Amino acid sequence: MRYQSVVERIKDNDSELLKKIYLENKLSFFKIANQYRLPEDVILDIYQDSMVALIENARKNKIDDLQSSVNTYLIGIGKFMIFNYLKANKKMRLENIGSENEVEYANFSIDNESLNKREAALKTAYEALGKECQQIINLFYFENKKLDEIQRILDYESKDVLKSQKSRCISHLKKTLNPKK
Amino acid sequence: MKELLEKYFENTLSTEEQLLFDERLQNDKKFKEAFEFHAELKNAVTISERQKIKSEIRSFEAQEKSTVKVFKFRKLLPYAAILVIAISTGLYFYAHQNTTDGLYAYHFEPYPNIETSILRSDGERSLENDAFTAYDLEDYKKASGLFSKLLEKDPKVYFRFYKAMCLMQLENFDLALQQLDEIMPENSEYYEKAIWFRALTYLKLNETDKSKQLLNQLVSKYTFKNVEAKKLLSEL
Repeated sequence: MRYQSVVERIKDNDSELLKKIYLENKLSFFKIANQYRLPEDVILDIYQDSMVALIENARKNKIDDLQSSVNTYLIGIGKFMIFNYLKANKKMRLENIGSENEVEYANFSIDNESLNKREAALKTAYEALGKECQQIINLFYFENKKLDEIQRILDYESKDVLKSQKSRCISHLKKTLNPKK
Repeated sequence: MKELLEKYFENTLSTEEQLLFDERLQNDKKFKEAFEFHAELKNAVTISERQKIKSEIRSFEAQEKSTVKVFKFRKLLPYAAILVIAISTGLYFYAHQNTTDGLYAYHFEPYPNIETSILRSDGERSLENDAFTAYDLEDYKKASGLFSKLLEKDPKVYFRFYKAMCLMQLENFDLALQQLDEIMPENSEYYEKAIWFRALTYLKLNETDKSKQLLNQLVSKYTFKNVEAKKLLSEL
């Protein structure tokens, strides 16, 4: 059996592992969050968002050289998100935590409200695409993979074939948005 | 045009291409429109994918809840009853016992970590990060050791303060006092907190006079725990 690091297994969407990480760290996270007297549903939501950010960063190859354990990293993200929540809701004055990480998670949104009208329509159109198109677009726009990598991952015979497939997917999206053209 | 946009999203534009890209974004209306479309698509895909991940995570919660419910109702009910009785008896005795120990236990709460955790990979930062994570997770023994290491390298006042918090948790009061005594008035932010925790430590060591003296100082000159300090003074 090939050895796979935890980060690699997260990338492969290993459900058992993800569930284990989620359940193992939940209590610790709630203990920390409770110090700030946040409502329980808010804490749960922030914790789940932190988990989303962990998985997203793994898929984007951002934590391949992670120095700490995945658990420490997850709790860290969660704390930044708590601070951002407190700041946004003006419950806490915190001058000295303007680090780059915090800025990164300040823009972390997950709800449809963060999308403009066209983006919301694009989201619906994207979700209605066929599997092949979704995979290409996901890898390119969400996971920030380069076309060479996508060609390898999805096993395209050449980059040009992939490129023309990607173009077809995008014009399909455009057509859904403007059916008359 | 397509090539340029593709490379922009791949993050592989060369310096010249970047210049060309900026120039066209400013002057070429069609190019700008195309760019905006791709940027919007990126936002749309990002939100969509995050929602997919989140719904999977929510499913862990649902699976867990069904097991927790059964666990709670069937097994915990008798224990809950015993617990309620135990707590009320405890409270009854506590209310009738105004000893310094009791007052200490009532007032002492370790100060929450407000120094944040900064996820950086260089050596010292990650040591600091580990120390505060251990502190947050209430592993005070580990945190205490890590704060000592940090203090050896860099005697920052907040390392000393949190080291003292760990020592108090570990009931090592003499050493905690040593650390707190070293926090000087010029570190105003931690000095007033140090006074409060010194007062509590003296209380625990049964040196009520010293504790009172510190509490009076806190009440007259500082704002931290002002109300609690007044209350505690009235109880001594």
